[in-house]
Amino acid sequence: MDVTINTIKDIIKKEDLNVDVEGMEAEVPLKEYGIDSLDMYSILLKLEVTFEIKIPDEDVDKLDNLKNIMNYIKEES
Amino acid sequence: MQLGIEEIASYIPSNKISNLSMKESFGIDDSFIENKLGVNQKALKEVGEEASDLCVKAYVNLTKKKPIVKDDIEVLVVVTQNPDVKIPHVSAIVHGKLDLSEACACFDISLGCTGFVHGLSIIHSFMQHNGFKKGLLFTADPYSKIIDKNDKNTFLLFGDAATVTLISDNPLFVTGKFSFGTIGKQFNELFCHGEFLYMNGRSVFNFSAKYIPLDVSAVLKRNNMTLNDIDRFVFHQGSKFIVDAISKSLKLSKDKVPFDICSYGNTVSSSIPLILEKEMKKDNNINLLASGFGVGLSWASTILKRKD
Repeated sequence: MDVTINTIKDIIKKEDLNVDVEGMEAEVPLKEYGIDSLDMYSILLKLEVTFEIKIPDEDVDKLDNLKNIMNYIKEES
Repeated sequence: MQLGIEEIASYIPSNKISNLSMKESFGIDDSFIENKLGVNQKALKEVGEEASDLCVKAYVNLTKKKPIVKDDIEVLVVVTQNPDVKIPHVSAIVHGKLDLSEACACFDISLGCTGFVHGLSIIHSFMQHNGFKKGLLFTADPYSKIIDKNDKNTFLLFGDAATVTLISDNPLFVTGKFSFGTIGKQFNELFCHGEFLYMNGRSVFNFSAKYIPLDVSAVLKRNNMTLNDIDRFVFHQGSKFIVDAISKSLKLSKDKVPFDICSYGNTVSSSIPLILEKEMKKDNNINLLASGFGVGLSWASTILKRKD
Protein backbone atom coordinates (compact mmCIF):
# COMPACT_ATOMS: atom_id res chain seq x y z
CA MET A 1 0.00 0.00 0.00
CA ASP A 2 1.26 3.46 -0.90
CA VAL A 3 1.37 5.26 2.44
CA THR A 4 1.18 9.06 2.45
CA ILE A 5 0.47 11.73 5.03
CA ASN A 6 -3.12 11.75 3.77
CA THR A 7 -3.38 7.99 4.34
CA ILE A 8 -2.50 8.54 8.00
CA LYS A 9 -4.88 11.50 8.22
CA ASP A 10 -7.72 9.36 6.83
CA ILE A 11 -7.12 6.77 9.52
CA ILE A 12 -7.11 9.37 12.29
CA LYS A 13 -10.30 10.93 10.88
CA LYS A 14 -12.11 7.62 11.29
CA GLU A 15 -11.35 7.70 15.01
CA ASP A 16 -13.66 10.70 15.40
CA LEU A 17 -11.35 12.41 17.88
CA ASN A 18 -12.83 15.89 17.73
CA VAL A 19 -9.66 17.41 16.26
CA ASP A 20 -9.10 19.25 12.96
CA VAL A 21 -7.28 16.47 11.13
CA GLU A 22 -7.20 18.30 7.78
CA GLY A 23 -5.35 21.20 9.38
CA MET A 24 -2.66 19.01 10.93
CA GLU A 25 0.90 19.52 9.75
CA ALA A 26 3.26 16.63 9.14
CA GLU A 27 5.96 17.44 11.67
CA VAL A 28 3.93 19.02 14.46
CA PRO A 29 3.54 16.73 17.48
CA LEU A 30 0.08 15.17 17.60
CA LYS A 31 -0.34 16.13 21.23
CA GLU A 32 -0.26 19.79 20.20
CA TYR A 33 -3.54 19.13 18.39
CA GLY A 34 -5.08 17.78 21.57
CA ILE A 35 -4.47 14.10 20.85
CA ASP A 36 -3.80 12.51 24.24
CA SER A 37 -2.29 9.19 25.26
CA LEU A 38 -5.63 7.37 25.13
CA ASP A 39 -6.43 8.75 21.66
CA MET A 40 -3.07 7.34 20.61
CA TYR A 41 -4.15 3.88 21.81
CA SER A 42 -7.02 3.87 19.35
CA ILE A 43 -4.92 5.34 16.51
CA LEU A 44 -2.20 2.73 17.06
CA LEU A 45 -4.73 -0.09 17.11
CA LYS A 46 -6.25 1.17 13.85
CA LEU A 47 -2.78 1.36 12.27
CA GLU A 48 -2.02 -2.19 13.41
CA VAL A 49 -5.27 -3.52 11.96
CA THR A 50 -5.08 -1.51 8.73
CA PHE A 51 -1.47 -2.35 7.90
CA GLU A 52 -1.41 -5.78 9.57
CA ILE A 53 1.60 -4.92 11.69
CA LYS A 54 2.45 -5.10 15.39
CA ILE A 55 3.66 -1.88 16.97
CA PRO A 56 5.64 -2.72 20.12
CA ASP A 57 5.27 -0.47 23.17
CA GLU A 58 8.91 0.61 22.86
CA ASP A 59 8.21 2.14 19.42
CA VAL A 60 5.20 4.19 20.49
CA ASP A 61 7.14 7.28 21.58
CA LYS A 62 8.65 7.56 18.09
CA LEU A 63 5.21 7.90 16.54
CA ASP A 64 4.62 11.44 17.72
CA ASN A 65 3.69 13.15 14.44
CA LEU A 66 2.21 12.31 11.04
CA LYS A 67 5.54 12.14 9.23
CA ASN A 68 7.11 9.77 11.76
CA ILE A 69 4.04 7.55 11.65
CA MET A 70 4.11 7.48 7.84
CA ASN A 71 7.81 6.58 7.74
CA TYR A 72 7.35 3.90 10.39
CA ILE A 73 4.49 2.31 8.50
CA LYS A 74 6.49 2.34 5.26
CA GLU A 75 9.32 0.51 6.99
CA GLU A 76 7.21 -2.02 8.82
CA SER A 77 4.50 -2.91 6.31
CA MET B 1 -37.29 -24.57 39.57
CA GLN B 2 -35.98 -21.51 37.79
CA LEU B 3 -33.27 -19.60 39.61
CA GLY B 4 -32.28 -16.02 38.91
CA ILE B 5 -31.56 -12.60 40.35
CA GLU B 6 -34.17 -11.48 42.86
CA GLU B 7 -32.41 -8.36 44.14
CA ILE B 8 -29.09 -6.51 44.09
CA ALA B 9 -27.79 -4.19 46.81
CA SER B 10 -24.51 -2.37 47.16
CA TYR B 11 -22.22 -0.40 49.39
CA ILE B 12 -20.12 2.51 48.12
CA PRO B 13 -17.91 4.19 50.74
CA SER B 14 -18.81 7.83 51.35
CA ASN B 15 -15.14 8.73 51.63
CA LYS B 16 -14.03 10.05 48.20
CA ILE B 17 -10.82 11.24 46.54
CA SER B 18 -11.23 13.87 43.81
CA ASN B 19 -9.34 13.42 40.54
CA LEU B 20 -9.70 17.13 39.93
CA SER B 21 -7.15 17.74 42.66
CA MET B 22 -4.68 15.49 40.81
CA LYS B 23 -4.73 17.40 37.52
CA GLU B 24 -1.43 19.17 38.00
CA SER B 25 0.56 16.27 39.41
CA PHE B 26 -0.54 13.90 36.62
CA GLY B 27 -0.55 16.48 33.80
CA ILE B 28 -4.19 16.02 32.85
CA ASP B 29 -7.12 18.39 32.30
CA ASP B 30 -10.86 18.48 32.97
CA SER B 31 -11.65 17.11 29.51
CA PHE B 32 -9.43 14.06 30.06
CA ILE B 33 -11.09 13.36 33.41
CA GLU B 34 -14.62 13.81 32.08
CA ASN B 35 -14.37 12.38 28.58
CA LYS B 36 -11.69 9.73 28.83
CA LEU B 37 -11.62 8.45 32.40
CA GLY B 38 -15.23 9.28 33.27
CA VAL B 39 -14.16 9.33 36.91
CA ASN B 40 -14.33 12.60 38.85
CA GLN B 41 -13.87 11.00 42.21
CA LYS B 42 -13.10 7.57 43.57
CA ALA B 43 -14.68 5.87 46.56
CA LEU B 44 -12.19 4.88 49.23
CA LYS B 45 -12.76 2.43 52.05
CA GLU B 46 -11.75 3.30 55.59
CA VAL B 47 -8.24 2.36 56.71
CA GLY B 48 -8.41 -1.11 58.24
CA GLU B 49 -11.67 -1.92 56.52
CA GLU B 50 -11.47 -5.21 54.63
CA ALA B 51 -13.37 -6.90 51.80
CA SER B 52 -15.52 -8.76 54.32
CA ASP B 53 -16.52 -5.47 55.99
CA LEU B 54 -17.61 -4.05 52.63
CA CYS B 55 -19.64 -7.23 52.00
CA VAL B 56 -21.37 -6.92 55.37
CA LYS B 57 -22.33 -3.32 54.58
CA ALA B 58 -23.74 -4.36 51.20
CA TYR B 59 -25.71 -7.10 52.96
CA VAL B 60 -27.15 -4.59 55.44
CA ASN B 61 -28.34 -2.55 52.46
CA LEU B 62 -29.88 -5.68 50.95
CA THR B 63 -31.91 -6.29 54.10
CA LYS B 64 -33.29 -2.75 53.79
CA LYS B 65 -34.68 -3.68 50.37
CA LYS B 66 -35.75 -7.24 51.03
CA PRO B 67 -36.37 -9.17 54.25
CA ILE B 68 -33.81 -11.99 54.47
CA VAL B 69 -34.23 -15.06 56.65
CA LYS B 70 -30.64 -15.96 57.44
CA ASP B 71 -31.36 -19.66 57.82
CA ASP B 72 -32.65 -19.72 54.24
CA ILE B 73 -29.23 -18.85 52.78
CA GLU B 74 -27.68 -22.09 51.54
CA VAL B 75 -24.62 -20.74 49.75
CA LEU B 76 -22.49 -17.60 50.06
CA VAL B 77 -19.93 -16.72 47.39
CA VAL B 78 -17.47 -13.81 47.39
CA VAL B 79 -15.72 -12.62 44.25
CA THR B 80 -12.45 -10.95 45.23
CA GLN B 81 -8.74 -10.81 44.52
CA ASN B 82 -8.04 -8.63 47.54
CA PRO B 83 -9.13 -10.86 50.42
CA ASP B 84 -8.89 -9.89 54.08
CA VAL B 85 -6.20 -12.57 54.57
CA LYS B 86 -4.69 -15.39 52.51
CA ILE B 87 -6.43 -18.04 54.63
CA PRO B 88 -9.35 -18.50 55.10
CA HIS B 89 -11.64 -17.53 52.25
CA VAL B 90 -13.44 -14.19 52.67
CA SER B 91 -16.80 -15.90 52.28
CA ALA B 92 -16.23 -17.79 55.54
CA ILE B 93 -15.40 -14.52 57.31
CA VAL B 94 -18.53 -12.88 55.91
CA HIS B 95 -20.54 -15.95 56.92
CA GLY B 96 -19.29 -15.54 60.49
CA LYS B 97 -19.93 -11.81 60.63
CA LEU B 98 -23.47 -12.30 59.33
CA ASP B 99 -24.09 -15.22 61.69
CA LEU B 100 -25.55 -17.40 58.95
CA SER B 101 -26.64 -21.01 59.32
CA GLU B 102 -23.91 -23.65 59.65
CA ALA B 103 -25.64 -25.49 56.81
CA CYS B 104 -24.38 -22.91 54.31
CA ALA B 105 -21.67 -23.53 51.73
CA CYS B 106 -19.07 -20.79 51.36
CA PHE B 107 -16.38 -20.27 48.74
CA ASP B 108 -14.52 -17.47 47.01
CA ILE B 109 -13.97 -16.86 43.32
CA SER B 110 -10.62 -15.32 42.33
CA LEU B 111 -11.49 -13.17 39.35
CA GLY B 112 -11.39 -9.47 38.59
CA CYS B 113 -13.61 -7.54 36.19
CA THR B 114 -15.30 -10.68 34.84
CA GLY B 115 -15.98 -12.06 38.31
CA PHE B 116 -19.62 -11.10 38.60
CA VAL B 117 -20.61 -12.76 35.31
CA HIS B 118 -18.53 -15.86 36.05
CA GLY B 119 -20.02 -15.82 39.55
CA LEU B 120 -23.57 -15.81 38.22
CA SER B 121 -22.89 -18.91 36.17
CA ILE B 122 -21.10 -20.69 39.03
CA ILE B 123 -23.66 -19.97 41.74
CA HIS B 124 -26.56 -20.87 39.45
CA SER B 125 -24.96 -24.22 38.59
CA PHE B 126 -24.05 -24.92 42.23
CA MET B 127 -27.54 -24.13 43.46
CA GLN B 128 -29.27 -25.98 40.65
CA HIS B 129 -27.15 -29.09 41.19
CA ASN B 130 -27.84 -29.12 44.93
CA GLY B 131 -31.48 -28.08 44.83
CA PHE B 132 -30.80 -24.83 46.71
CA LYS B 133 -33.33 -22.01 46.64
CA LYS B 134 -31.44 -19.02 48.09
CA GLY B 135 -27.84 -17.89 47.73
CA LEU B 136 -25.79 -14.73 48.00
CA LEU B 137 -23.21 -13.64 45.44
CA PHE B 138 -20.93 -10.88 46.77
CA THR B 139 -18.37 -8.80 44.90
CA ALA B 140 -15.77 -6.83 46.86
CA ASP B 141 -12.35 -6.02 45.50
CA PRO B 142 -10.84 -3.08 47.40
CA TYR B 143 -8.13 -2.09 44.94
CA SER B 144 -7.08 0.81 47.15
CA LYS B 145 -4.98 -1.83 48.96
CA ILE B 146 -2.81 -2.35 45.87
CA ILE B 147 -2.77 1.04 44.11
CA ASP B 148 0.43 3.06 43.83
CA LYS B 149 -0.49 6.69 44.46
CA ASN B 150 2.12 7.78 41.92
CA ASP B 151 0.80 5.59 39.08
CA LYS B 152 -1.36 7.66 36.74
CA ASN B 153 -2.57 4.52 34.91
CA THR B 154 -4.29 3.10 37.96
CA PHE B 155 -4.58 5.73 40.70
CA LEU B 156 -7.09 7.85 38.77
CA LEU B 157 -9.35 4.94 37.87
CA PHE B 158 -10.05 2.47 40.63
CA GLY B 159 -12.48 2.85 43.51
CA ASP B 160 -13.74 0.63 46.33
CA ALA B 161 -17.23 -0.85 46.59
CA ALA B 162 -19.13 -4.05 47.27
CA THR B 163 -22.34 -5.58 46.00
CA VAL B 164 -24.53 -8.49 46.95
CA THR B 165 -26.88 -10.29 44.59
CA LEU B 166 -29.68 -12.42 45.97
CA ILE B 167 -30.11 -15.50 43.78
CA SER B 168 -33.38 -17.28 44.42
CA ASP B 169 -36.26 -19.31 43.03
CA ASN B 170 -38.29 -16.09 42.90
CA PRO B 171 -36.26 -14.18 40.33
CA LEU B 172 -36.81 -10.81 38.75
CA PHE B 173 -34.28 -11.59 36.00
CA VAL B 174 -33.04 -14.96 34.73
CA THR B 175 -29.79 -15.59 32.92
CA GLY B 176 -29.45 -16.83 29.37
CA LYS B 177 -26.49 -18.71 27.94
CA PHE B 178 -23.01 -17.48 28.78
CA SER B 179 -19.85 -16.84 26.79
CA PHE B 180 -16.36 -16.99 28.34
CA GLY B 181 -12.77 -16.60 27.23
CA THR B 182 -9.21 -16.12 28.44
CA ILE B 183 -5.91 -15.02 26.92
CA GLY B 184 -3.61 -16.27 29.64
CA LYS B 185 -0.49 -15.41 27.64
CA GLN B 186 -1.25 -11.77 28.39
CA PHE B 187 -1.78 -12.24 32.14
CA ASN B 188 1.03 -9.81 32.95
CA GLU B 189 -0.62 -6.86 31.20
CA LEU B 190 -2.81 -6.40 34.28
CA PHE B 191 -1.40 -8.01 37.40
CA CYS B 192 -0.17 -7.56 40.92
CA HIS B 193 3.13 -9.15 41.84
CA GLY B 194 4.29 -7.69 45.09
CA GLU B 195 2.83 -4.55 46.54
CA PHE B 196 1.17 -2.72 43.65
CA LEU B 197 -1.10 -3.28 40.68
CA TYR B 198 0.48 -2.90 37.23
CA MET B 199 -1.63 -2.13 34.20
CA ASN B 200 -0.46 -1.78 30.59
CA GLY B 201 -3.26 0.56 29.53
CA ARG B 202 -2.60 0.14 25.83
CA SER B 203 -2.69 -3.67 25.97
CA VAL B 204 -5.87 -3.69 28.02
CA PHE B 205 -7.46 -1.23 25.58
CA ASN B 206 -6.40 -3.30 22.56
CA PHE B 207 -7.76 -6.45 24.17
CA SER B 208 -11.08 -4.82 25.05
CA ALA B 209 -11.56 -3.06 21.71
CA LYS B 210 -10.73 -6.18 19.70
CA TYR B 211 -12.36 -8.98 21.66
CA ILE B 212 -15.42 -7.58 23.44
CA PRO B 213 -17.43 -6.54 20.35
CA LEU B 214 -16.81 -10.05 18.97
CA ASP B 215 -17.90 -11.61 22.26
CA VAL B 216 -21.08 -9.52 22.32
CA SER B 217 -21.94 -10.92 18.90
CA ALA B 218 -21.08 -14.43 20.09
CA VAL B 219 -23.26 -14.32 23.21
CA LEU B 220 -26.16 -12.85 21.25
CA LYS B 221 -25.87 -15.67 18.73
CA ARG B 222 -25.79 -18.28 21.51
CA ASN B 223 -29.05 -16.83 22.82
CA ASN B 224 -30.66 -16.49 19.37
CA MET B 225 -30.83 -12.73 19.76
CA THR B 226 -29.61 -9.64 17.91
CA LEU B 227 -28.35 -6.24 19.06
CA ASN B 228 -31.88 -4.88 18.56
CA ASP B 229 -33.29 -7.27 21.17
CA ILE B 230 -31.20 -5.73 23.95
CA ASP B 231 -32.55 -2.82 25.98
CA ARG B 232 -29.32 -2.08 27.86
CA PHE B 233 -25.73 -3.15 27.31
CA VAL B 234 -24.13 -3.29 30.74
CA PHE B 235 -20.39 -3.34 30.13
CA HIS B 236 -17.74 -3.53 32.80
CA GLN B 237 -17.14 0.11 33.65
CA GLY B 238 -13.40 0.07 32.94
CA SER B 239 -13.23 3.69 31.84
CA LYS B 240 -15.38 5.94 29.67
CA PHE B 241 -12.82 5.63 26.90
CA ILE B 242 -13.06 1.83 26.78
CA VAL B 243 -16.86 1.70 27.06
CA ASP B 244 -17.17 4.36 24.32
CA ALA B 245 -14.77 2.44 22.04
CA ILE B 246 -16.76 -0.79 22.41
CA SER B 247 -20.07 1.04 21.91
CA LYS B 248 -18.72 2.75 18.81
CA SER B 249 -17.45 -0.51 17.37
CA LEU B 250 -20.90 -2.09 17.82
CA LYS B 251 -22.66 1.10 16.63
CA LEU B 252 -24.78 1.24 19.81
CA SER B 253 -26.77 4.33 20.69
CA LYS B 254 -25.48 5.99 23.84
CA ASP B 255 -28.80 5.72 25.67
CA LYS B 256 -28.50 1.93 25.53
CA VAL B 257 -25.10 1.88 27.20
CA PRO B 258 -25.18 3.07 30.80
CA PHE B 259 -21.96 4.56 32.15
CA ASP B 260 -22.13 5.77 35.71
CA ILE B 261 -18.88 5.64 37.64
CA CYS B 262 -18.21 9.37 37.77
CA SER B 263 -18.58 9.54 41.55
CA TYR B 264 -16.91 6.30 42.62
CA GLY B 265 -14.56 4.87 39.94
CA ASN B 266 -13.87 1.48 38.40
CA THR B 267 -14.88 -0.99 41.10
CA VAL B 268 -13.69 -4.12 39.25
CA SER B 269 -16.14 -7.03 39.81
CA SER B 270 -18.67 -4.68 41.42
CA SER B 271 -19.02 -2.44 38.37
CA ILE B 272 -21.64 -4.53 36.53
CA PRO B 273 -23.94 -5.28 39.50
CA LEU B 274 -23.79 -1.60 40.52
CA ILE B 275 -25.28 -0.69 37.13
CA LEU B 276 -27.69 -3.65 37.10
CA GLU B 277 -29.03 -2.60 40.50
CA LYS B 278 -30.44 0.53 38.84
CA GLU B 279 -31.32 -0.86 35.42
CA MET B 280 -33.29 -3.83 36.76
CA LYS B 281 -35.70 -1.42 38.43
CA LYS B 282 -36.74 0.11 35.11
CA ASP B 283 -39.84 -1.72 33.88
CA ASN B 284 -39.08 -1.16 30.20
CA ASN B 285 -35.76 -3.01 30.49
CA ILE B 286 -36.68 -6.53 29.42
CA ASN B 287 -33.40 -7.89 28.04
CA LEU B 288 -30.04 -6.81 29.42
CA LEU B 289 -26.61 -7.86 28.22
CA ALA B 290 -23.85 -8.04 30.85
CA SER B 291 -20.25 -8.14 29.65
CA GLY B 292 -17.18 -8.23 31.88
CA PHE B 293 -13.58 -8.03 30.68
CA GLY B 294 -10.18 -7.45 32.20
CA VAL B 295 -7.86 -9.34 34.55
CA GLY B 296 -6.63 -12.58 32.98
CA LEU B 297 -6.96 -11.26 30.39
CA SER B 298 -10.46 -12.67 30.35
CA TRP B 299 -14.01 -11.98 29.37
CA ALA B 300 -17.46 -13.24 30.31
CA SER B 301 -20.90 -12.26 29.13
CA THR B 302 -24.52 -13.29 29.38
CA ILE B 303 -28.06 -12.15 28.79
CA LEU B 304 -30.43 -11.27 31.64
CA LYS B 305 -34.11 -11.60 30.79
CA ARG B 306 -36.94 -10.14 32.86
CA LYS B 307 -39.06 -12.98 34.20
CA ASP B 308 -42.61 -13.04 32.79
